[in-house]
Amino acid sequence: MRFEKSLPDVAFFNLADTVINWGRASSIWPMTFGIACCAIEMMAVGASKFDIDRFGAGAFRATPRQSDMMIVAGTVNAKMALVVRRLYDQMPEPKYVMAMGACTVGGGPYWKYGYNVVKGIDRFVPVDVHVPGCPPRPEAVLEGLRFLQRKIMAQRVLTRGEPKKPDFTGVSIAPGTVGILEPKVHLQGPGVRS
Amino acid sequence: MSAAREVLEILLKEGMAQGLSLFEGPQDPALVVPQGRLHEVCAHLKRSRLLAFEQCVLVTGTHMVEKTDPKGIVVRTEGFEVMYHLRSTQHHRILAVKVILPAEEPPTVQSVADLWRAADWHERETYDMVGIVFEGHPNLHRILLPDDWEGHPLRKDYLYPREYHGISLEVDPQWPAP
Amino acid sequence: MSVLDQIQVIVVFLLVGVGMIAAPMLLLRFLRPFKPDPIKAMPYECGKDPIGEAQVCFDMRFYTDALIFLIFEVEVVFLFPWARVFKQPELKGVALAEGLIFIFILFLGLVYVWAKGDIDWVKSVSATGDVRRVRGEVPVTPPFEIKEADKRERVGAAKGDPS
Repeated sequence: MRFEKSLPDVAFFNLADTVINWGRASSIWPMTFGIACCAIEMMAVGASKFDIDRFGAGAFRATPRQSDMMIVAGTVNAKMALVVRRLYDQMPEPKYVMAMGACTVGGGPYWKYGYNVVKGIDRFVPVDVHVPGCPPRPEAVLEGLRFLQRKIMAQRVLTRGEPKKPDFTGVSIAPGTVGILEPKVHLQGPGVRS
Repeated sequence: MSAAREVLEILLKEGMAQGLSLFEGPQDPALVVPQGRLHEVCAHLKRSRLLAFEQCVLVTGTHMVEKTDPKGIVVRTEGFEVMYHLRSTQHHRILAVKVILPAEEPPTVQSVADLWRAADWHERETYDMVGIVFEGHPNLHRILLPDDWEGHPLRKDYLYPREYHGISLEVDPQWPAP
Repeated sequence: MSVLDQIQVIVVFLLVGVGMIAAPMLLLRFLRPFKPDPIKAMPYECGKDPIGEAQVCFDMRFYTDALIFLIFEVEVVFLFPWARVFKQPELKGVALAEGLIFIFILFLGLVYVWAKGDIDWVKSVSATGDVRRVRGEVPVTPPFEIKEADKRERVGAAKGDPS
Protein backbone atom coordinates (compact mmCIF):
# COMPACT_ATOMS: atom_id res chain seq x y z
CA MET A 1 0.00 0.00 0.00
CA ARG A 2 1.62 3.25 -1.08
CA PHE A 3 0.49 6.81 -0.75
CA GLU A 4 1.80 8.47 -3.88
CA LYS A 5 -0.54 11.15 -5.12
CA SER A 6 -3.44 9.71 -3.15
CA LEU A 7 -3.87 11.94 -0.11
CA PRO A 8 -6.24 14.93 -0.11
CA ASP A 9 -4.94 18.44 -0.68
CA VAL A 10 -5.02 19.49 2.97
CA ALA A 11 -2.56 21.75 4.78
CA PHE A 12 -1.05 18.90 6.79
CA PHE A 13 -0.34 16.71 3.79
CA ASN A 14 0.91 19.70 1.87
CA LEU A 15 3.36 20.23 4.68
CA ALA A 16 4.46 16.62 4.38
CA ASP A 17 4.89 17.19 0.65
CA THR A 18 6.97 20.29 1.30
CA VAL A 19 9.21 18.45 3.73
CA ILE A 20 9.76 15.58 1.34
CA ASN A 21 10.40 17.92 -1.56
CA TRP A 22 12.76 20.01 0.53
CA GLY A 23 14.73 16.87 1.32
CA ARG A 24 14.87 15.88 -2.33
CA ALA A 25 15.77 19.31 -3.61
CA SER A 26 18.48 19.92 -1.06
CA SER A 27 20.44 16.79 -1.84
CA ILE A 28 20.29 16.12 -5.54
CA TRP A 29 23.24 13.81 -6.11
CA PRO A 30 24.34 14.04 -9.70
CA MET A 31 25.69 11.23 -11.83
CA THR A 32 28.93 12.17 -13.48
CA PHE A 33 28.12 11.77 -17.11
CA GLY A 34 30.68 13.95 -18.75
CA ILE A 35 30.93 12.85 -22.35
CA ALA A 36 32.82 15.73 -23.98
CA CYS A 37 34.01 19.28 -23.31
CA CYS A 38 31.12 20.20 -21.02
CA ALA A 39 32.57 17.71 -18.58
CA ILE A 40 35.40 20.15 -17.92
CA GLU A 41 32.89 22.79 -16.86
CA MET A 42 31.12 20.21 -14.76
CA MET A 43 34.40 19.51 -13.01
CA ALA A 44 34.81 23.25 -12.50
CA VAL A 45 31.38 23.39 -10.93
CA GLY A 46 32.36 20.63 -8.58
CA ALA A 47 35.63 22.29 -7.65
CA SER A 48 36.13 24.92 -5.02
CA LYS A 49 35.50 28.22 -6.78
CA PHE A 50 31.98 27.51 -8.05
CA ASP A 51 31.28 24.86 -5.45
CA ILE A 52 28.15 22.87 -6.19
CA ASP A 53 28.39 21.21 -2.80
CA ARG A 54 26.94 24.26 -1.07
CA PHE A 55 23.67 23.46 -2.84
CA GLY A 56 23.79 19.89 -1.59
CA ALA A 57 24.67 18.44 -4.94
CA GLY A 58 28.35 17.86 -4.36
CA ALA A 59 28.29 14.10 -4.03
CA PHE A 60 28.86 13.01 -7.61
CA ARG A 61 28.17 9.30 -7.93
CA ALA A 62 29.60 7.38 -10.81
CA THR A 63 26.83 4.82 -10.79
CA PRO A 64 23.20 5.42 -11.75
CA ARG A 65 22.01 3.35 -8.81
CA GLN A 66 22.98 5.95 -6.23
CA SER A 67 22.28 9.19 -8.07
CA ASP A 68 19.26 11.46 -8.36
CA MET A 69 20.15 13.58 -11.34
CA MET A 70 21.88 12.75 -14.58
CA ILE A 71 23.83 15.72 -15.91
CA VAL A 72 24.37 14.84 -19.56
CA ALA A 73 27.39 16.97 -20.39
CA GLY A 74 28.67 16.67 -23.92
CA THR A 75 27.75 15.64 -27.44
CA VAL A 76 25.65 12.50 -27.58
CA ASN A 77 26.34 10.34 -30.62
CA ALA A 78 24.01 7.67 -31.90
CA LYS A 79 26.26 5.01 -30.39
CA MET A 80 26.19 6.73 -27.02
CA ALA A 81 22.49 7.51 -27.07
CA LEU A 82 21.64 3.88 -26.39
CA VAL A 83 23.97 3.91 -23.40
CA VAL A 84 22.47 7.15 -22.09
CA ARG A 85 18.99 5.71 -22.35
CA ARG A 86 20.02 2.50 -20.60
CA LEU A 87 21.63 4.43 -17.75
CA TYR A 88 18.56 6.63 -17.41
CA ASP A 89 16.46 3.49 -17.15
CA GLN A 90 18.75 2.12 -14.45
CA MET A 91 18.37 5.14 -12.17
CA PRO A 92 15.88 4.68 -9.34
CA GLU A 93 13.04 7.13 -8.88
CA PRO A 94 12.95 10.05 -8.20
CA LYS A 95 15.23 10.93 -11.07
CA TYR A 96 15.88 14.13 -12.98
CA VAL A 97 17.84 14.94 -16.12
CA MET A 98 19.80 18.10 -16.82
CA ALA A 99 20.82 18.69 -20.41
CA MET A 100 24.06 20.63 -20.08
CA GLY A 101 25.51 22.39 -23.05
CA ALA A 102 24.36 23.22 -26.54
CA CYS A 103 24.94 19.73 -27.91
CA THR A 104 22.48 18.12 -25.57
CA VAL A 105 19.96 20.91 -25.87
CA GLY A 106 19.65 20.89 -29.64
CA GLY A 107 22.69 19.42 -31.32
CA GLY A 108 25.01 22.37 -30.74
CA PRO A 109 27.57 23.02 -33.46
CA TYR A 110 26.64 19.70 -35.05
CA TRP A 111 23.00 20.55 -35.52
CA LYS A 112 23.14 20.51 -39.31
CA TYR A 113 25.91 18.28 -40.58
CA GLY A 114 26.46 15.80 -37.77
CA TYR A 115 25.33 12.52 -39.23
CA ASN A 116 26.10 10.69 -36.04
CA VAL A 117 24.92 13.28 -33.50
CA VAL A 118 21.54 13.11 -31.81
CA LYS A 119 20.33 16.68 -31.98
CA GLY A 120 19.08 17.15 -28.47
CA ILE A 121 18.77 14.48 -25.85
CA ASP A 122 15.10 15.18 -25.37
CA ARG A 123 14.62 12.93 -28.37
CA PHE A 124 15.09 9.92 -26.14
CA VAL A 125 15.11 10.92 -22.45
CA PRO A 126 12.71 13.29 -20.69
CA VAL A 127 14.69 16.37 -19.70
CA ASP A 128 13.86 18.54 -16.68
CA VAL A 129 16.16 21.48 -17.28
CA HIS A 130 18.16 22.62 -20.30
CA VAL A 131 21.29 24.64 -19.66
CA PRO A 132 22.46 26.27 -22.89
CA GLY A 133 26.02 27.35 -23.52
CA CYS A 134 29.06 26.01 -25.30
CA PRO A 135 30.15 25.22 -22.67
CA PRO A 136 27.82 26.84 -20.14
CA ARG A 137 29.63 28.81 -17.50
CA PRO A 138 29.68 27.12 -14.09
CA GLU A 139 27.36 29.83 -12.84
CA ALA A 140 24.88 28.83 -15.52
CA VAL A 141 25.02 25.23 -14.38
CA LEU A 142 24.34 26.35 -10.83
CA GLU A 143 21.42 28.40 -12.12
CA GLY A 144 20.08 25.30 -13.82
CA LEU A 145 20.41 23.42 -10.56
CA ARG A 146 18.48 26.13 -8.68
CA PHE A 147 15.81 26.02 -11.38
CA LEU A 148 15.53 22.30 -10.86
CA GLN A 149 15.32 22.76 -7.11
CA ARG A 150 12.38 25.15 -7.46
CA LYS A 151 10.73 22.74 -9.85
CA ILE A 152 11.15 19.91 -7.35
CA MET A 153 9.71 22.01 -4.54
CA ALA A 154 6.54 22.40 -6.58
CA GLN A 155 6.10 18.69 -7.15
CA ARG A 156 3.18 16.78 -5.74
CA VAL A 157 4.42 13.63 -4.01
CA LEU A 158 1.71 12.49 -1.62
CA THR A 159 -1.18 14.82 -2.33
CA ARG A 160 -3.42 14.66 -5.33
CA GLY A 161 -4.70 17.65 -7.22
CA GLU A 162 -3.72 20.26 -9.74
CA PRO A 163 0.01 20.56 -10.44
CA LYS A 164 1.50 23.52 -8.60
CA LYS A 165 3.29 26.36 -10.32
CA PRO A 166 6.93 26.53 -9.30
CA ASP A 167 8.18 29.73 -7.71
CA PHE A 168 11.05 31.02 -9.81
CA THR A 169 11.85 34.23 -7.98
CA GLY A 170 15.57 34.80 -8.08
CA VAL A 171 16.21 32.25 -10.80
CA SER A 172 16.89 33.79 -14.17
CA ILE A 173 15.20 32.16 -17.11
CA ALA A 174 15.56 33.39 -20.64
CA PRO A 175 12.32 35.03 -21.83
CA GLY A 176 10.10 32.87 -23.97
CA THR A 177 11.29 29.59 -22.51
CA VAL A 178 7.93 28.26 -21.48
CA GLY A 179 8.65 25.01 -23.26
CA ILE A 180 11.48 24.25 -20.92
CA LEU A 181 9.27 23.92 -17.86
CA GLU A 182 7.31 21.02 -19.25
CA PRO A 183 9.30 19.31 -21.99
CA LYS A 184 6.90 18.41 -24.75
CA VAL A 185 8.37 14.96 -25.23
CA HIS A 186 7.74 12.53 -22.39
CA LEU A 187 9.00 9.16 -23.43
CA GLN A 188 8.77 5.68 -22.08
CA GLY A 189 11.12 4.20 -24.61
CA PRO A 190 13.62 5.38 -27.19
CA GLY A 191 12.68 7.01 -30.41
CA VAL A 192 9.14 8.32 -30.33
CA ARG A 193 9.26 11.93 -31.38
CA SER A 194 5.98 13.81 -31.29
CA MET B 1 65.49 16.94 -53.69
CA SER B 2 62.35 15.71 -52.01
CA ALA B 3 62.20 12.68 -49.78
CA ALA B 4 60.07 10.77 -52.28
CA ARG B 5 62.59 11.32 -55.06
CA GLU B 6 65.50 10.23 -52.83
CA VAL B 7 63.65 7.12 -51.77
CA LEU B 8 62.78 6.27 -55.37
CA GLU B 9 66.43 6.53 -56.34
CA ILE B 10 67.49 4.26 -53.49
CA LEU B 11 64.79 1.78 -54.47
CA LEU B 12 66.04 1.87 -58.06
CA LYS B 13 69.51 1.00 -56.84
CA GLU B 14 68.16 -1.82 -54.69
CA GLY B 15 66.07 -3.17 -57.51
CA MET B 16 62.64 -2.79 -55.98
CA ALA B 17 61.24 -0.03 -58.15
CA GLN B 18 59.08 -1.91 -60.70
CA GLY B 19 55.79 -0.13 -61.22
CA LEU B 20 56.58 2.73 -58.87
CA SER B 21 56.17 6.33 -59.86
CA LEU B 22 56.16 9.76 -58.32
CA PHE B 23 53.12 11.90 -57.78
CA GLU B 24 54.31 15.49 -57.92
CA GLY B 25 51.36 17.50 -56.79
CA PRO B 26 51.23 21.02 -55.38
CA GLN B 27 51.92 19.61 -51.91
CA ASP B 28 54.61 17.16 -50.92
CA PRO B 29 55.35 14.59 -53.56
CA ALA B 30 54.32 11.01 -52.88
CA LEU B 31 55.56 7.66 -54.05
CA VAL B 32 52.80 5.87 -55.97
CA VAL B 33 52.82 2.10 -55.54
CA PRO B 34 50.70 -0.29 -57.58
CA GLN B 35 48.07 -2.20 -55.65
CA GLY B 36 49.65 -5.64 -55.87
CA ARG B 37 53.14 -4.58 -54.74
CA LEU B 38 52.21 -2.61 -51.66
CA HIS B 39 53.11 -5.09 -48.95
CA GLU B 40 56.39 -6.07 -50.57
CA VAL B 41 57.47 -2.46 -51.08
CA CYS B 42 56.46 -1.47 -47.54
CA ALA B 43 58.34 -4.42 -46.06
CA HIS B 44 61.42 -3.35 -47.97
CA LEU B 45 60.98 0.26 -46.86
CA LYS B 46 60.88 -0.89 -43.28
CA ARG B 47 63.74 -3.38 -43.32
CA SER B 48 66.29 -1.89 -45.65
CA ARG B 49 69.24 -0.27 -43.90
CA LEU B 50 69.36 2.77 -46.11
CA LEU B 51 65.64 3.48 -45.82
CA ALA B 52 64.60 2.14 -42.40
CA PHE B 53 61.09 3.56 -42.17
CA GLU B 54 60.36 2.13 -38.79
CA GLN B 55 57.39 4.33 -37.97
CA CYS B 56 54.01 4.46 -39.68
CA VAL B 57 52.45 7.78 -38.79
CA LEU B 58 49.21 7.73 -40.74
CA VAL B 59 47.05 5.55 -42.92
CA THR B 60 44.05 7.15 -44.47
CA GLY B 61 41.81 6.77 -47.47
CA THR B 62 39.83 9.05 -49.75
CA HIS B 63 36.97 8.54 -52.12
CA MET B 64 37.88 10.32 -55.33
CA VAL B 65 35.07 11.31 -57.62
CA GLU B 66 35.33 11.89 -61.30
CA LYS B 67 36.83 15.29 -62.08
CA THR B 68 36.43 17.09 -65.36
CA ASP B 69 38.14 20.34 -66.26
CA PRO B 70 36.08 23.20 -67.74
CA LYS B 71 36.57 21.89 -71.28
CA GLY B 72 34.78 18.64 -70.39
CA ILE B 73 37.84 16.40 -70.43
CA VAL B 74 37.91 13.81 -67.68
CA VAL B 75 40.97 14.58 -65.54
CA ARG B 76 40.47 11.86 -62.95
CA THR B 77 38.23 8.82 -62.91
CA GLU B 78 36.35 7.64 -59.90
CA GLY B 79 38.31 5.58 -57.45
CA PHE B 80 39.85 5.42 -54.04
CA GLU B 81 43.27 6.43 -52.78
CA VAL B 82 45.02 5.12 -49.72
CA MET B 83 47.77 7.30 -48.32
CA TYR B 84 50.50 6.20 -45.93
CA HIS B 85 52.89 8.52 -44.14
CA LEU B 86 56.07 6.78 -43.03
CA ARG B 87 58.84 8.25 -40.96
CA SER B 88 62.46 7.24 -40.60
CA THR B 89 63.99 8.61 -37.44
CA GLN B 90 67.40 7.18 -38.34
CA HIS B 91 67.64 8.99 -41.64
CA HIS B 92 65.42 11.98 -40.79
CA ARG B 93 62.96 11.44 -43.58
CA ILE B 94 59.20 11.52 -43.98
CA LEU B 95 57.73 9.71 -46.94
CA ALA B 96 54.22 9.70 -48.35
CA VAL B 97 53.15 6.52 -50.12
CA LYS B 98 50.00 6.42 -52.19
CA VAL B 99 48.03 3.55 -53.64
CA ILE B 100 45.38 4.30 -56.24
CA LEU B 101 42.48 1.85 -56.32
CA PRO B 102 39.81 1.47 -58.98
CA ALA B 103 36.16 2.05 -58.15
CA GLU B 104 35.16 -1.51 -57.35
CA GLU B 105 32.96 -2.65 -54.48
CA PRO B 106 34.57 -3.12 -52.02
CA PRO B 107 37.95 -1.55 -52.80
CA THR B 108 40.67 -3.83 -51.45
CA VAL B 109 44.32 -3.34 -50.66
CA GLN B 110 46.88 -5.37 -48.74
CA SER B 111 47.18 -4.58 -45.05
CA VAL B 112 50.46 -3.41 -43.53
CA ALA B 113 49.30 -4.01 -39.96
CA ASP B 114 51.79 -6.85 -39.56
CA LEU B 115 54.67 -4.48 -40.37
CA TRP B 116 53.64 -1.51 -38.29
CA ARG B 117 51.37 -1.96 -35.27
CA ALA B 118 50.13 1.60 -35.59
CA ALA B 119 48.54 0.83 -38.93
CA ASP B 120 46.11 -1.57 -37.26
CA TRP B 121 43.67 1.03 -35.96
CA HIS B 122 44.30 3.49 -38.76
CA GLU B 123 43.23 0.84 -41.24
CA ARG B 124 40.16 0.06 -39.18
CA GLU B 125 39.23 3.73 -39.23
CA THR B 126 39.72 3.88 -42.99
CA TYR B 127 37.50 0.85 -43.38
CA ASP B 128 34.89 2.43 -41.14
CA MET B 129 34.81 5.79 -42.85
CA VAL B 130 35.55 5.02 -46.50
CA GLY B 131 34.87 1.32 -46.84
CA ILE B 132 38.29 0.17 -48.05
CA VAL B 133 38.88 -3.46 -47.12
CA PHE B 134 42.40 -4.36 -46.00
CA GLU B 135 43.28 -7.97 -46.81
CA GLY B 136 45.17 -9.73 -44.06
CA HIS B 137 44.09 -7.36 -41.32
CA PRO B 138 43.73 -9.21 -38.02
CA ASN B 139 40.54 -7.50 -36.88
CA LEU B 140 38.74 -5.48 -39.53
CA HIS B 141 35.65 -4.16 -37.77
CA ARG B 142 34.18 -0.72 -37.38
CA ILE B 143 36.04 1.32 -34.85
CA LEU B 144 34.34 4.71 -34.54
CA LEU B 145 30.77 4.10 -35.62
CA PRO B 146 28.48 1.50 -34.06
CA ASP B 147 28.86 -2.01 -35.43
CA ASP B 148 25.46 -2.03 -37.05
CA TRP B 149 25.84 1.28 -38.87
CA GLU B 150 25.04 1.22 -42.56
CA GLY B 151 27.18 3.03 -45.05
CA HIS B 152 30.56 4.70 -45.02
CA PRO B 153 30.26 8.37 -44.14
CA LEU B 154 33.33 9.87 -45.79
CA ARG B 155 32.34 8.71 -49.24
CA LYS B 156 31.19 11.50 -51.46
CA ASP B 157 27.83 9.89 -52.17
CA TYR B 158 26.89 9.23 -48.54
CA LEU B 159 23.30 9.96 -47.54
CA TYR B 160 22.74 10.92 -43.93
CA PRO B 161 20.59 8.46 -42.00
CA ARG B 162 17.21 9.44 -40.68
CA GLU B 163 17.26 7.41 -37.53
CA TYR B 164 19.26 4.90 -35.55
CA HIS B 165 17.45 2.29 -33.47
CA GLY B 166 14.38 4.46 -33.37
CA ILE B 167 16.17 7.63 -32.27
CA SER B 168 15.63 10.34 -34.83
CA LEU B 169 18.77 11.91 -36.27
CA GLU B 170 17.02 14.46 -38.44
CA VAL B 171 17.72 18.14 -38.21
CA ASP B 172 15.08 19.88 -36.13
CA PRO B 173 12.75 21.54 -38.63
CA GLN B 174 11.75 24.28 -36.20
CA TRP B 175 15.23 25.79 -36.06
CA PRO B 176 15.74 28.68 -38.46
CA ALA B 177 17.66 27.86 -41.62
CA PRO B 178 20.93 29.80 -42.02
CA MET C 1 23.04 0.54 40.19
CA SER C 2 21.27 -2.71 40.75
CA VAL C 3 21.26 -5.39 38.16
CA LEU C 4 17.68 -4.66 37.20
CA ASP C 5 18.51 -1.02 36.56
CA GLN C 6 21.45 -2.02 34.43
CA ILE C 7 19.31 -4.35 32.41
CA GLN C 8 16.78 -1.59 31.93
CA VAL C 9 19.47 0.73 30.63
CA ILE C 10 20.64 -1.86 28.15
CA VAL C 11 17.11 -2.57 26.96
CA VAL C 12 16.41 1.12 26.45
CA PHE C 13 19.63 1.55 24.47
CA LEU C 14 18.75 -1.46 22.31
CA LEU C 15 15.24 -0.22 21.61
CA VAL C 16 16.35 3.29 20.76
CA GLY C 17 19.17 2.05 18.58
CA VAL C 18 17.02 -0.37 16.64
CA GLY C 19 14.11 2.04 16.55
CA MET C 20 16.14 4.87 15.08
CA ILE C 21 16.78 2.68 12.07
CA ALA C 22 13.55 0.70 11.91
CA ALA C 23 11.05 3.54 12.30
CA PRO C 24 12.25 5.62 9.34
CA MET C 25 12.54 2.49 7.23
CA LEU C 26 8.98 1.53 8.05
CA LEU C 27 7.73 5.03 7.33
CA LEU C 28 9.59 5.29 4.07
CA ARG C 29 8.31 1.95 2.86
CA PHE C 30 4.95 3.64 2.49
CA LEU C 31 6.20 6.95 1.20
CA ARG C 32 8.81 6.06 -1.40
CA PRO C 33 8.10 5.58 -5.10
CA PHE C 34 7.95 2.01 -6.31
CA LYS C 35 8.37 1.53 -10.02
CA PRO C 36 9.97 -1.81 -10.83
CA ASP C 37 11.14 -2.23 -14.37
CA PRO C 38 13.01 -5.10 -16.03
CA ILE C 39 15.59 -2.79 -17.60
CA LYS C 40 16.14 -1.10 -14.27
CA ALA C 41 16.80 -4.46 -12.67
CA MET C 42 19.51 -5.39 -15.18
CA PRO C 43 23.04 -5.57 -13.83
CA TYR C 44 24.93 -2.32 -14.29
CA GLU C 45 27.71 -2.55 -16.84
CA CYS C 46 28.24 1.09 -17.81
CA GLY C 47 25.16 1.20 -19.97
CA LYS C 48 26.01 -1.78 -22.17
CA ASP C 49 24.52 -5.24 -22.13
CA PRO C 50 26.32 -7.27 -19.47
CA ILE C 51 28.82 -9.86 -20.70
CA GLY C 52 29.77 -12.96 -18.76
CA GLU C 53 29.21 -13.96 -15.16
CA ALA C 54 29.13 -11.59 -12.25
CA GLN C 55 31.17 -13.94 -10.05
CA VAL C 56 34.87 -13.38 -10.51
CA CYS C 57 37.65 -15.71 -9.37
CA PHE C 58 39.71 -14.03 -6.69
CA ASP C 59 43.47 -13.97 -6.88
CA MET C 60 45.03 -16.45 -4.44
CA ARG C 61 47.44 -13.83 -3.19
CA PHE C 62 44.63 -12.05 -1.34
CA TYR C 63 44.08 -15.22 0.64
CA THR C 64 47.73 -15.73 1.56
CA ASP C 65 48.17 -12.07 2.50
CA ALA C 66 45.10 -12.16 4.71
CA LEU C 67 46.32 -15.32 6.38
CA ILE C 68 49.72 -13.82 7.18
CA PHE C 69 48.04 -10.69 8.50
CA LEU C 70 45.74 -12.74 10.71
CA ILE C 71 48.58 -14.64 12.31
CA PHE C 72 50.44 -11.52 13.33
CA GLU C 73 47.25 -9.80 14.38
CA VAL C 74 46.50 -12.65 16.79
CA GLU C 75 50.02 -12.29 18.11
CA VAL C 76 49.37 -8.65 18.90
CA VAL C 77 46.07 -9.56 20.51
CA PHE C 78 47.86 -11.99 22.79
CA LEU C 79 50.36 -9.32 23.80
CA PHE C 80 47.65 -7.11 25.29
CA PRO C 81 46.55 -9.42 28.11
CA TRP C 82 50.18 -10.39 28.72
CA ALA C 83 51.05 -6.75 29.32
CA ARG C 84 48.05 -6.23 31.56
CA VAL C 85 48.40 -9.33 33.70
CA PHE C 86 52.11 -9.58 34.42
CA LYS C 87 52.47 -6.31 36.33
CA GLN C 88 53.68 -7.69 39.67
CA PRO C 89 57.24 -6.54 40.34
CA GLU C 90 58.54 -9.99 41.33
CA LEU C 91 57.57 -11.51 37.96
CA LYS C 92 58.89 -8.73 35.76
CA GLY C 93 62.06 -10.36 34.51
CA VAL C 94 60.42 -13.70 33.83
CA ALA C 95 57.43 -12.11 32.13
CA LEU C 96 59.65 -10.03 29.89
CA ALA C 97 61.71 -13.04 28.89
CA GLU C 98 58.62 -15.12 28.13
CA GLY C 99 57.13 -12.32 26.07
CA LEU C 100 60.33 -11.90 24.12
CA ILE C 101 60.54 -15.64 23.44
CA PHE C 102 56.95 -15.58 22.14
CA ILE C 103 57.70 -12.65 19.82
CA PHE C 104 60.95 -14.30 18.69
CA ILE C 105 59.20 -17.53 17.67
CA LEU C 106 56.74 -15.63 15.58
CA PHE C 107 59.56 -13.50 14.20
CA LEU C 108 61.12 -16.68 12.82
CA GLY C 109 57.84 -17.28 11.04
CA LEU C 110 58.01 -13.78 9.59
CA VAL C 111 61.53 -14.37 8.31
CA TYR C 112 60.42 -17.58 6.63
CA VAL C 113 57.46 -15.94 4.91
CA TRP C 114 59.62 -12.99 3.83
CA ALA C 115 62.37 -15.11 2.36
CA LYS C 116 59.92 -17.35 0.55
CA GLY C 117 58.56 -14.28 -1.21
CA ASP C 118 55.01 -14.67 0.06
CA ILE C 119 54.84 -11.05 1.16
CA ASP C 120 55.71 -9.68 -2.28
CA TRP C 121 52.87 -9.24 -4.67
CA VAL C 122 55.06 -10.38 -7.53
CA LYS C 123 57.52 -13.03 -6.50
CA SER C 124 61.13 -12.41 -7.47
CA VAL C 125 62.71 -15.00 -9.73
CA SER C 126 64.92 -16.42 -6.96
CA ALA C 127 61.94 -16.84 -4.63
CA THR C 128 60.01 -18.99 -7.06
CA GLY C 129 62.53 -21.75 -6.46
CA ASP C 130 62.79 -22.50 -10.17
CA VAL C 131 66.48 -23.15 -10.56
CA ARG C 132 66.41 -23.00 -14.35
CA ARG C 133 64.94 -19.50 -14.30
CA VAL C 134 67.51 -18.33 -11.78
CA ARG C 135 70.35 -19.63 -13.93
CA GLY C 136 68.84 -17.97 -17.00
CA GLU C 137 68.25 -21.14 -18.99
CA VAL C 138 64.56 -20.50 -19.53
CA PRO C 139 64.12 -17.39 -21.70
CA VAL C 140 61.66 -14.64 -20.95
CA THR C 141 58.89 -14.61 -23.54
CA PRO C 142 57.97 -11.19 -24.91
CA PRO C 143 54.28 -10.30 -24.87
CA PHE C 144 54.08 -10.09 -28.68
CA GLU C 145 55.59 -11.95 -31.55
CA ILE C 146 58.76 -10.56 -33.11
CA LYS C 147 59.20 -11.79 -36.64
CA GLU C 148 62.56 -13.12 -37.84
CA ALA C 149 62.89 -10.51 -40.52
CA ASP C 150 62.57 -7.72 -37.97
CA LYS C 151 65.08 -9.09 -35.48
CA ARG C 152 68.07 -7.70 -37.27
CA GLU C 153 66.83 -4.13 -36.90
CA ARG C 154 68.30 -2.35 -33.97
CA VAL C 155 67.91 1.27 -33.00
CA GLY C 156 71.19 3.19 -33.30
CA ALA C 157 72.63 1.13 -36.15
CA ALA C 158 74.99 3.22 -38.27
CA LYS C 159 73.93 4.31 -41.75
CA GLY C 160 75.04 2.13 -44.60
CA ASP C 161 75.79 -0.97 -42.50
CA PRO C 162 75.94 -4.11 -44.59
CA SER C 163 73.01 -6.38 -43.64
